[in-house]
Amino acid sequence: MSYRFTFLRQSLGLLGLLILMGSCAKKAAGSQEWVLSKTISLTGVNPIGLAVLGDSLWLSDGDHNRVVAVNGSGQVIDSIVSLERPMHIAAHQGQLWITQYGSDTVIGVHPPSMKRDVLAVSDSLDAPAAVSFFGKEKAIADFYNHRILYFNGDSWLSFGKEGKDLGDFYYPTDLQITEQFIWVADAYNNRVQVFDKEGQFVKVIGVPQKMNAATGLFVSEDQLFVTDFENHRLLVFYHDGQLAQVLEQDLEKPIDALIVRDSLYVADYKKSQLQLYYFDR
Amino acid sequence: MISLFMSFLLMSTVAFAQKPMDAFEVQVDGLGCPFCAYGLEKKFKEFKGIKEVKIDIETGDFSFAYPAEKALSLAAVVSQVEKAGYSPMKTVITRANGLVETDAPLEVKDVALAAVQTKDLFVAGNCEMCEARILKATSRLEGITEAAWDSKTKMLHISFDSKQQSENSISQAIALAGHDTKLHKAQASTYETLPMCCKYERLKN
Repeated sequence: MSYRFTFLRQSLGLLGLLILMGSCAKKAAGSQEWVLSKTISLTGVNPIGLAVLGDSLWLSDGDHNRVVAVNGSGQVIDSIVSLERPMHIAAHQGQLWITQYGSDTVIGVHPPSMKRDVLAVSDSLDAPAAVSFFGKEKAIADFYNHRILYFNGDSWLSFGKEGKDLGDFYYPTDLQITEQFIWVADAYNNRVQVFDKEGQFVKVIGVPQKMNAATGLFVSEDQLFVTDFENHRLLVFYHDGQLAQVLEQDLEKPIDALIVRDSLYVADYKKSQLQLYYFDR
Repeated sequence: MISLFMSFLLMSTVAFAQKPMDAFEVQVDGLGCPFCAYGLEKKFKEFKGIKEVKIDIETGDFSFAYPAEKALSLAAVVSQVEKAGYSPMKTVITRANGLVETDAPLEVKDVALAAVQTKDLFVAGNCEMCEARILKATSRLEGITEAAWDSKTKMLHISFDSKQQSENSISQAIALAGHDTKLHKAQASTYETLPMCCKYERLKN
């Protein structure tokens, strides 16, 4: 189980929001699937990345060079400003880690003090788009360099190059480290690629679905969620690559997904909103 | 006395440091994807001496300041934006000396209704940036009265003066801009210059 997932499951801070969500849920008959339960409007925020830190849900707002925390009504309750095009974000060890596409840096911010630390990496970045942590491991999607930088706890490894072949990338935008693998949203190759921790290609997911810009992903214990940005839908796969479900109701340019205490959050960049889904068992 | 001297010194330094700057405003269409839009901003920041780079994703307003002594031309700016794969719709330069330069507005010509034809053409593309590029390619042609492209169906709905244009000439212009049609395919070299989100699946022969 990924650190990110474990952390999120342990987070109790969103309980109120989830109770509210449950009260809005409409029970759908039939098979096990994700069901839309609530839409939260985010006035003035164009969300990109999602992360939960402590009690708060944080969203990067690249258009406005900030990262914000929102409450259950979508109101901004805290913000980290003066950033340079923040993209995907991650929570790790009490800090919010923010990729800054505009300044080629990844910084860690501890929201109460707003103290900022720069993540030291082995090489220069060109538009970092996402960062992920798993224990001592960390990885960065290095967008314009078409590669992944991965720290295994001892040393950094770089893998991937620009291209269309398996193992190549064409603008990787998001990634997640799990127990065994590194999952990469290979955005403009319109697929997800899975690698082992030596950087060796393992499998590709999503090709038959003809995605158009795979901009964000989230890996749960048994499913993979991928935002299909230009096709305005979220694809849900099992880990073996089998398509489980397509979510597209009222979505327009979904850009990231996240599971928080069994609820699925989808950030909609164009509509400035969050969609919440529950899993109907 | 000391503070007065320090204020004078500071003001002198600021005055010295301020170079005359030209102000550039570019209206860019099709900035639907933040990765692409921020990429445009990032690439322009690489210009030595560029200042105050701003981009508004929602409106497509892109602006910056550049040292007047370098006399960056309107054509060079348009070319740079196009090289980056974007579609500049309007460019305005306000020179440091107050002179204003802008693109000439497109001339709207009256077209006799009897000659107007309407067609639906398949044009390969992906996104809003593709849409902007396709429509810009058609807007440059004489005799086009209406054009709309749907990214879902890939169909271009276009009305034109049949005395000035044909399905063939329109398709050719669109292919030159980088988009495959049933009648004409884009050159591989042109296709390769398209931004990442516009790399559509090529049409087979």
